[in-house]
Amino acid sequence: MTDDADALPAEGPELAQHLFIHGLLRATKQASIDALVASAINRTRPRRRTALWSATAAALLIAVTILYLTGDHLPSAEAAVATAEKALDRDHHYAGTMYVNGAVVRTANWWIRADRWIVNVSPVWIGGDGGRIWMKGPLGRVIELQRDSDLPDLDPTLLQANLRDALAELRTSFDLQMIGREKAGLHVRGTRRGTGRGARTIDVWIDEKAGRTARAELDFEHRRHVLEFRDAEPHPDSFYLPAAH
Amino acid sequence: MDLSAREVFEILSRSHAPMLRAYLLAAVRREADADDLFQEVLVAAWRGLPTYDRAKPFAPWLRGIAFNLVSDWRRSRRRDLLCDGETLALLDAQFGKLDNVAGDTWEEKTVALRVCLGELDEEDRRVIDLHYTGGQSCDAIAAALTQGVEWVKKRLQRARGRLGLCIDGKLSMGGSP
Repeated sequence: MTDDADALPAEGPELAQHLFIHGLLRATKQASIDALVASAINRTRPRRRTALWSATAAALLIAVTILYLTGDHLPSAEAAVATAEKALDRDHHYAGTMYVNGAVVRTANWWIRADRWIVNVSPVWIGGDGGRIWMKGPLGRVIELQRDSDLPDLDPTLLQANLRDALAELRTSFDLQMIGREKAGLHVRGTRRGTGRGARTIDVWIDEKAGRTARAELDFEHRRHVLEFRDAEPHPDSFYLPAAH
Repeated sequence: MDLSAREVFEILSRSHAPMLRAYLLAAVRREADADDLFQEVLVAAWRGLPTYDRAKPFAPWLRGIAFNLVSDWRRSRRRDLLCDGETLALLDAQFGKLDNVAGDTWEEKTVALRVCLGELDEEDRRVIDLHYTGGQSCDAIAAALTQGVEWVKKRLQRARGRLGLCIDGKLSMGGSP
């Protein structure tokens, strides 16, 4: 938050005291702290050998499944992603979950239609129309934002979990691989070319019948966003404006 | 019943987690970075547990690990920190003031903060609420209050300064309001 730094004294003991108060006040909102502790504690547990065997067995099973599936005709990964992207020209609602090292730290709801989108991370609503971005806070006030601006206390990966943007980026900045046909749908994996900002890998499962993304997983360095399809209920244009929420 | 080292560590980690998170939130700009560092500190603390002297308090030892990790992190992420290394050490001393406050929980140790918030004048309190509870930027607060951004920054600075003096006063009286 650039304005936090601007609103602090320059240096020394006075700065330390202001930062002390600043930290205490920021920490008054700490809904996810139990999950963070649990996740850290979990990381200190030794991995069991059985887990290794399970992972090996699972990898073998996947390999055999892929060999089996390649006997069927599969569309190219690029075509599958293009179909899924096109589907988002209509209203879609996805439930989002953010994990930090395996523990759930935040949930969100996304509604997307073409360039319009809104995300609710209770009690905050954020939305956009391809250009302007607005945020409506718990006090009901609406402010306009620039996408790259620092949003106060908002995880920087959150807006990168916008599925339409993610699918568009998959086509342009990722190496795509068709993994195969799975229960959740056609599984396509994208691995980022180079070291750009954003997710390192994106996995999508595309419902062949409906032609839409059934599930997506965006893997950031320590964070993973999972999006799951909820419904395709149509909404009026006004639904994507702050006044509706 | 004797507790295992892991059980003791879990209990200590959970009871000191709010302090650790507040310390990291004081030092870094982004909440997401504070959360990442938080986990790294606890993992490093578990690995370093054999070096921990159980006769000494846990909180300063944990902050010492946090200080080292934040200092390392600062080499590559200087712009994402709110202070330099020297101020980081002074920050540790600020948090050290809470170590000896009576109380088993973070809520008990920070009762002075809540009392002092209640003693702020209405305008200072409003700016603090909008910024820290409402998560609004100085620009947004300025627009909401039809004031200039510099006015908001000065208000925030003044309110934090007053809170600092008030908390120091309460703590010097033994932590009770």
